[in-house]
Amino acid sequence: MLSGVFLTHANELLGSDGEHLLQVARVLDESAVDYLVVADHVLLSAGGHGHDALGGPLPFPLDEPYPDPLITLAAAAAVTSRIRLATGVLIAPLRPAPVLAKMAASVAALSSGRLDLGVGSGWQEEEFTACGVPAAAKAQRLDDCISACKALWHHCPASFSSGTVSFEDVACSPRPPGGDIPVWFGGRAIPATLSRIARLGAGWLPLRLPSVAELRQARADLNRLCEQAGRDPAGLGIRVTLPTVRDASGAADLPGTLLPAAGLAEAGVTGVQINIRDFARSVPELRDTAAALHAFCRESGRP
Amino acid sequence: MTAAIAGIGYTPFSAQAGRSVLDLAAEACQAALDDAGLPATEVDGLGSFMVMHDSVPCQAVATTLGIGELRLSLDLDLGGQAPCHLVSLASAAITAGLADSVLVFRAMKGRSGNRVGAMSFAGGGGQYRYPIGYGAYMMYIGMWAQRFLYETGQGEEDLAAIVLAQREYAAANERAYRRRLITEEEYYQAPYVVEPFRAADCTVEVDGACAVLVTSLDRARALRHPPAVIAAAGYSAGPRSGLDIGDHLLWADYSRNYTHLLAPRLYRAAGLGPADIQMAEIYDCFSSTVMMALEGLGLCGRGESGGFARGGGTRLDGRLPVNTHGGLLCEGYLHGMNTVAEAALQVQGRGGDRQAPRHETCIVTSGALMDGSGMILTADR
Repeated sequence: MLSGVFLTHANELLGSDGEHLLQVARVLDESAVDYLVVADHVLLSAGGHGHDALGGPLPFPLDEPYPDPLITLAAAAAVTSRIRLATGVLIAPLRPAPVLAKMAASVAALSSGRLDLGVGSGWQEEEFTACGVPAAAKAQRLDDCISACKALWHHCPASFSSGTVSFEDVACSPRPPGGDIPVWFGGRAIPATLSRIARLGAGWLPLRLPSVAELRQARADLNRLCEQAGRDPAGLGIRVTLPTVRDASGAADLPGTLLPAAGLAEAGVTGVQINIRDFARSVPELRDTAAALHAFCRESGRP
Repeated sequence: MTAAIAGIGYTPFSAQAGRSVLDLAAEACQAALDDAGLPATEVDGLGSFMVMHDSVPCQAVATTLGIGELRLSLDLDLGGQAPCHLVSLASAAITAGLADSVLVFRAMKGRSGNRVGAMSFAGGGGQYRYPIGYGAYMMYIGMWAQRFLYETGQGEEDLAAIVLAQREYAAANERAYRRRLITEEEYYQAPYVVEPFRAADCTVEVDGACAVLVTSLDRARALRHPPAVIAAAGYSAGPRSGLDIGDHLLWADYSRNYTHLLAPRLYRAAGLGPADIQMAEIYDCFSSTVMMALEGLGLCGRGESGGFARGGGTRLDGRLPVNTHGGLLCEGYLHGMNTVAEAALQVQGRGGDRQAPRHETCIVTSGALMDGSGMILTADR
């Protein structure tokens, strides 16, 4: 299995203004960890309602740093040479599709094709409204946005027409190395998400850790949908975020956190990531955690 | 090729069997064969274990049973670490084509003959333990229990919850040697044997034997009962596990035993996670080892096994029934061979009055300290 480190909210490690980002990126690049992952919110609503799927209030303070993910990954790209740079997830419909296509292609070009674009449809109405995007039909917007990006990455000039994005004979350059960027879709294993992955995706980023039964079902559904879409499902990835397990004293327990993932490779999971905020507050702790994470994932076999 | 447990056999458990260990071994093995409906002539492998020569070699049992050519004979010089280890080795041998059908058994006169509680383990580590008066097995486990309870913020009320739940199971198990229900008051009234253990925290030594038949899944499907599929099995001895069977002096952390090393391997091989496990049969020479294993296997968070047991989680109507035969604490100390047998019975749906409602996946352990073994049994799917 591949290993990932989720950096967002790791304020003690990154520094309150993210001033240690480059050092952290270098350390991860020197480790054997496969993915450096960052998340996205353009804005947070002080209204404070929680995620519609996860429920509850925001699990972090409103004023916590939330740097732009693609700019963060561009900076990381400059000081790394191996590690894959991933968003998990970037709220795609908040940005005009051509702007997202251009930014992502630029990061992909600057990193020699190391970008994995994880995207989601978003959930805060206030964030959409402030960005001038209607919150209605978010899922359709996500679909159109990624289809439009793919058109711009695949063709030059490109033409595209859909309900929410359309253009004709426009060029967007640079195009990503290899002519494409792997796009991963976040969310629950609902038919719309799985269908989107089968049509457009490189993989699935489940919203929360699914059970083995749910994973097996999702794999079976993806296989069927890929067959319908005329593509080979073998390359599709599933990367899960492991909920941090704490001991009775409240301390984060890395072996306990990793344990539920041991059987997941068999169920079709190709990668796991941990919330590094809970395990490392300093570079030495990051080195140790990255080594332990990698050792665990190596034992769990590579896809 | 996958292997499965297809038959289970026991002798009665008693304080004084009044017959030879060989006789006990042969009776339990023959009972396992009769249970599966397989003639002894079809068996070509045996596996067993003994502590300080308290049992009989496989060869003798094969001869007594009238088995023909023996192609696999495993006599391990181990204690409670051995049962899942032997099933694992039998399963691997069957998969590798070294044997077709293997009986794994433990036979002993653990009460009227050599009692583990009174044995001296005169190995390389003994020279350090015995001169300081640190010589009985329950002292070792007691030391670990104290450290474990201290490190995880748990205590005697948690041990009591484990014990009381297992007593309830034993009341429904006619094979159990200790079947009397006790109240929490009675539990606390008994003095310490070795702190933090009172009498009810300690296994009850018995004379008896127990055997399981391991064979290929294909063959098991043709036998009398539904197979208990061996989805994963293995053994682990952590680093610095000592110089002899009782030597734990070099072990780094008395609050964690082998289970936390073994767990990821078992889940990996079975393609399951802790959340998929429906029941557990945990080696329990003493009550504390149940808590350590529940946490080591990720079935409970660290420091949360006691609360889980106090909340009824290990009972028949709880989230994870544990030690449904009453455990070694109550059924009798066959060094965990009967723990394996109970797991197979449960997965096969033959648990009778103590049958766990969900029994398609069961995790099993053998051993208490630095080294041990475990497995995951599943229903045939």
